[in-house]
Amino acid sequence: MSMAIAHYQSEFERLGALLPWQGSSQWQLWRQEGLAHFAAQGFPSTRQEEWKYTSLTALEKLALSCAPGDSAPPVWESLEGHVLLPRARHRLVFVDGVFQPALSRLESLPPGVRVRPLSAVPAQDSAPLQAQLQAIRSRTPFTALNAAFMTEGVWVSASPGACLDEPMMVLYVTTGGGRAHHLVNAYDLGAGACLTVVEQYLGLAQDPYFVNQVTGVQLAAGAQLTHLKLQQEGARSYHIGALQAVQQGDSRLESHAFALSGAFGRNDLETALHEPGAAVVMNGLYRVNGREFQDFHTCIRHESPDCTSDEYFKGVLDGSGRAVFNGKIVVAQDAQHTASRQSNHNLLLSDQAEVDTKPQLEIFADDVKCSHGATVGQLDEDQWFYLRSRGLESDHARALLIEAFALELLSGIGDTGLRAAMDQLLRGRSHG
Amino acid sequence: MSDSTLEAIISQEYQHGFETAVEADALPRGLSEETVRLISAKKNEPEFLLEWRLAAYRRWLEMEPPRWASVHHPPIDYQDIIYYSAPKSQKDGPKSLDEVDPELLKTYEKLGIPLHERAILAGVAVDAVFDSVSVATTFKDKLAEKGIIFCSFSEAVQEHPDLVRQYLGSVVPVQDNFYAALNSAVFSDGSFVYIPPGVRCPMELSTYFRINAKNTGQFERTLIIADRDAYVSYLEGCTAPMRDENQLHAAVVELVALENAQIKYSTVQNWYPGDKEGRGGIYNFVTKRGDCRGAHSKISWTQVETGSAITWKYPSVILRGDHSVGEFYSVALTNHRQQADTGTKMIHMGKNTRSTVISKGISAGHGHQAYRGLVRIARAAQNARNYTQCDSLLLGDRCAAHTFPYIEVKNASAKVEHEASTSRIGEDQLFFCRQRGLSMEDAVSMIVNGFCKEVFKELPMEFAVEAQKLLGVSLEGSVG
Repeated sequence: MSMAIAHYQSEFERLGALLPWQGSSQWQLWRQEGLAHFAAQGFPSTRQEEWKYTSLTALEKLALSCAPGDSAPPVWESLEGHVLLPRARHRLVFVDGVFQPALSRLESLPPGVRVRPLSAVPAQDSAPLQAQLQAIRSRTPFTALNAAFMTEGVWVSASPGACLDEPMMVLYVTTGGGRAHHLVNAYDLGAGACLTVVEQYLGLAQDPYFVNQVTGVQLAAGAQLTHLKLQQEGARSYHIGALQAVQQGDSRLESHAFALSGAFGRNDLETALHEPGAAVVMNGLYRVNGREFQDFHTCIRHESPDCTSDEYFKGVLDGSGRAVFNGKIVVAQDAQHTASRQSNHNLLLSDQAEVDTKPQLEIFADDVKCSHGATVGQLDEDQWFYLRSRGLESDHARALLIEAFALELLSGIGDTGLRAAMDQLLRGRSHG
Repeated sequence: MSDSTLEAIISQEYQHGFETAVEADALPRGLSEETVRLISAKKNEPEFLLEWRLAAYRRWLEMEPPRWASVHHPPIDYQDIIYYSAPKSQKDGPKSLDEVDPELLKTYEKLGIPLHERAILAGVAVDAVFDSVSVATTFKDKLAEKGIIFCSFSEAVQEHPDLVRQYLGSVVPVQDNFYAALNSAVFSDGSFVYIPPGVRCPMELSTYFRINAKNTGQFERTLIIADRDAYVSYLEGCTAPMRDENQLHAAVVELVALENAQIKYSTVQNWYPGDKEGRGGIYNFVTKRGDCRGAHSKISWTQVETGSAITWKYPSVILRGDHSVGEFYSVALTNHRQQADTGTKMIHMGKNTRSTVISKGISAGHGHQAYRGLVRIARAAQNARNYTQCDSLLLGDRCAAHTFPYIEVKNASAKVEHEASTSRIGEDQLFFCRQRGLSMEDAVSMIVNGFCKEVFKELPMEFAVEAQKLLGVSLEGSVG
């Protein structure tokens, strides 16, 4: 058995009683199963197809504590400047894996919408949450590890027809190194319900830490979720995330993922279009510089007829950064009239940078329209020259073109306030 | 169209299924070091080649068959294969077509390849491989005049051992993959081509492979070398008789293009695909690779794959020389229970290298098809350029089409584009054709041929005609 597995097993024994809902035998079983599953699989190696370009050796060597942090939380004023929507009326803030009621606020939620940090959910109310997490179909070693150690997160449920019209903020801040945070977000939307949520992961720690998060999404018929995930992790961080959604008839999921910083990032985004008429938009941007690494694996499963998917990912690679994109679309045998589009465009700005992309189609139905495209290229010399001829300095012209390349993705965000905030954020970094 | 006509057309049996009764000089079933030594001895090979075979065999013993391809078949018993079978023949081989066993010639005739006539009329030199030994080679003199060597592999081993020694295994090393190692250990025969510097080969060189004796795995080895400023176009075409047991075919093709040289390699593969329940048919596990070793060299692969129960084939180009060019044009068709996992690798290493990949997949019935490709731009490959397009056409609701394109880029000056689409034949296109009086059959055939046009135009003329016919026959009635 590898050192890493032994380490997490001993952490499990050490923390045992501290993990939430210890009184519930279902949760105990759940956690033990997760640990067993993780121990059976261990850390994936690059010999496994899904991890071909992604090495976990460095993470495997870290002996991280799985207990939540205990340092004093920062004051709101010091965080405010980093928060994507600082004025959001509904926000939950977690620092080092601990919920911070003083930094959070939940104003007048509309009837039918329930927002709770996991720590506020008593064991006897937690069964539906487990049922929802049970629906997560693809078990990786990391979702299993998450099941074993999950400590905090947010659970949002909306009864049929309930809508939260403003974006809700969920902020995870990491201030110290040496720990692994296992976080869970669950969004359960009843028929026709709608929600816009921003998950922001902010790393203020300079030392290595590990965020292992799982987001589970259930969309009943006609429900609509806009989910924006923003990764701004620390210089020596590891972030592994999974989004798993199940969509019923005519539901709509909009997923926007932005991996803007962090030493190592890996995201597995997956949705199952389970009933006719379901639609998904899956967009993303990854930016790497220095020695950063970002990996996006996406999987869209067309399981029913008349579903649509639209996927657009872009990458900006500089320095010695590396990125991986693997976009899989699976069309099941009877998922006729599927319409599916996927694109991945990469801007390679340095000879030390590297991108490995694989758009992948697996199609078992015949009456479908599926296409994908992938490109790797540089900034357009003509465009650069145009800007230079108008008096822009070389660096400025370059920055402007990179900015334009990235900003294109924002047009897919429906909420204007959210789009404006992202716009500001992206422009800020490319000038710096 | 009524269901019964549709059924009748879909279930058309393989037209080239017959077996020639020629006495075969075969080794017993099974593979051991002894088999390898026997094959080598039977072919009177020099020591270095025996050593090379043995090295390959030892590596093979340590290897596992690949499992990553999306094809399914029962495990192959490598001890149940006859590794060598030569038509019993005259000691020194035939000097001319008259000396060739008339049974063999009849086989070619049935296939519509009247060897000498067609060769003369079409200006094609044919090195026909019947089972494992070359039986006839034409136009040799004309080629010899220009210094071109075009002969069977065994002959090359005897006559030009230095060339063989220099280039054999230099593109596909023995340990490259499971099937290549197997081939290296037991290959029986194949073709050898050497084009000397500055020579443009005056005719299309062509080899018709034909699997004949029952249960004989065929392990051809082809080696083509185009020296500086040389040009050659090579055609490979295949048909096989009908049988019920699966046959393994693991060929290796190596191409070497030196400075300014060009090699064009075209294949039409129409081996027995098995019956409509998926019984029988050829397992075609082929390693094909070209090495653009010199600057400004070019290697172009064109393939039309309509046969075989399973195809596992990735003709690749290593773009080592600066300014070298690699091309891959492919049409693959799977019907009934056929499975194909095919594609290409373009490995860019030199500066200003370019590659184009056009792949058209057609899947019908219960056919399964995958495009699997790799485009790798190495760190030193400045200004590399790749364009890839892979389209799939689906006919029938029980077929499948997959795409697995790997793109790895380590140089910022690279431009890599990949596009893929999957769809069925447009109702409106069909309607348009039907409305103008075309039968359903003709309409489908026309649309499919249009779909494949970009690839067919890369084929030499004779092949293009054959390919269109093949596609028409294999597809008629798949859409109704």
